[in-house]
Amino acid sequence: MLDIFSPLSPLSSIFNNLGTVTQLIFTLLFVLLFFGFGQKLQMRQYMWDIDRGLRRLDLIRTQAKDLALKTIKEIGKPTMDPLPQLNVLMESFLITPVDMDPSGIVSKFDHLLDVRDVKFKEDVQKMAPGADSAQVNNLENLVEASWALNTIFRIIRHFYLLGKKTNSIFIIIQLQALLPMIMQEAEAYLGAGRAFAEGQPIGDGLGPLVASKLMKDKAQRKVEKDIMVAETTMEDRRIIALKAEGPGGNVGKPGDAIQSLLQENDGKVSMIVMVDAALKFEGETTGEISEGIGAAIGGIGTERFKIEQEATKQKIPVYAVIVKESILEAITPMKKEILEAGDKVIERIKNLIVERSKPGDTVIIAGIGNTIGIGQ
Amino acid sequence: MLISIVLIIIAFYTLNLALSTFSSDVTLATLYFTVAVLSFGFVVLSVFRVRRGYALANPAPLKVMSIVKCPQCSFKQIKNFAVGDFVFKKLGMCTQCGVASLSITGIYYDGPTRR
Repeated sequence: MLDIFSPLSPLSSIFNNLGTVTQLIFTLLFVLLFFGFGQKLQMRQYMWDIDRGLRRLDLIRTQAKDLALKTIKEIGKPTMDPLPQLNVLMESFLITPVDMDPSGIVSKFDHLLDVRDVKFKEDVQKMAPGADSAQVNNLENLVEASWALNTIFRIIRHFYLLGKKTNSIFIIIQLQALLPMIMQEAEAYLGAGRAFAEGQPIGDGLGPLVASKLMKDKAQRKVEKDIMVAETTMEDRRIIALKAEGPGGNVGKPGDAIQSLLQENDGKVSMIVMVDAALKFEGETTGEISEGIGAAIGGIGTERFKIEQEATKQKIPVYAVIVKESILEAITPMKKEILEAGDKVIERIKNLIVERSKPGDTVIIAGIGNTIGIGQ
Repeated sequence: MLISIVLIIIAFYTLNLALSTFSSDVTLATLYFTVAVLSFGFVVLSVFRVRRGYALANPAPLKVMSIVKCPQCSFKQIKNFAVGDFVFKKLGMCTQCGVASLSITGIYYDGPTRR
């Protein structure tokens, strides 16, 4: 059996000559390396992982910013270089209201968000004077995606350098554990940036897609901020369908719109059905439909608050029909499965209103989400 | 990188020890051999992790399609998305029935399944 390993014997004889002392040194070195410096080595490896992730994040945010700049120049036809203005927007921030006394915080938040939205849109309009209103909305979304990537990069870099500076393994471990999710989100934002640049519908547009199918060829009117409303009938019920005004990238303020529609039809509305895209759990199928109770609307919570408040006041049940998708699918171009789920959602809504309302009742159907690439 | 280099040295060293002690002490040789295999295995795994990390940054553009339909007849066409397309955009006259009701009824991403 020894003959098989004979070609390696010259090498092994070198080590054999060193004898048991070498073996002892090696064993000590091994123990010292893996038990004494194990944590340090592990931290070093985590830091390499984070460093690699940070480089990719930098690459992604640069790509997104370049895309935003290129699109602004192409669509907006600016007379001067928009880069300095874009850089200012990239570093912009929002100071949230004081929450020590939470009474009235929703209206404070709402006001701040309104001011921020108006300023952001005006700044984008200034950078791209040649863009129409739908294109300004798309550019605004694109700049927001770049802003999000820039912010993610700055936060990760901050904690990485802080962990490095303080030699804190706990900061590094937390960062390394979160990094795969953060990278996934960053890649999703880059994909979103591409969709916004070209005005393609995204997965989050499922709600507006369903509403627009109901509103198509019906008389439409504009209500609260950027929300379009149309009336139709379904299974002998009067349907008030609403969505954000498209096809520019826009979510509107459905909370305000539903509130004013409920006040307009005081006591006449028998139910509200909200259609939205929702984040799926890992292992769930994209495009799967679920029904539930409550206001299906994301964001900071101000819009949901308004709907809940008015629905509670008038004792109107709020139902939610959601389509499951991942964060990546929600902000990148709409997948075929999600598009196909639109018609199935309408069937589910029909079943829901037949079960939960009577003929002649008024039902509000709200398509929630970003309506980019979806008209009405 | 540094860990991988150290582990490769350890792997070669223990492999040699395993080979040299194989004839005299099989148990010790097996122990050395195990350390060598584990060290090699760790290095191989690390290399694969690095490769996967780089492979994720793929900026390939997505294939987005627009569905054009005429509600008056059975005409349906799936074309590449063009900037300016949007769902329910009216495209004018249908080439099949001649009625001005052609429109985009859907836009979707057509490509490999994403993570």
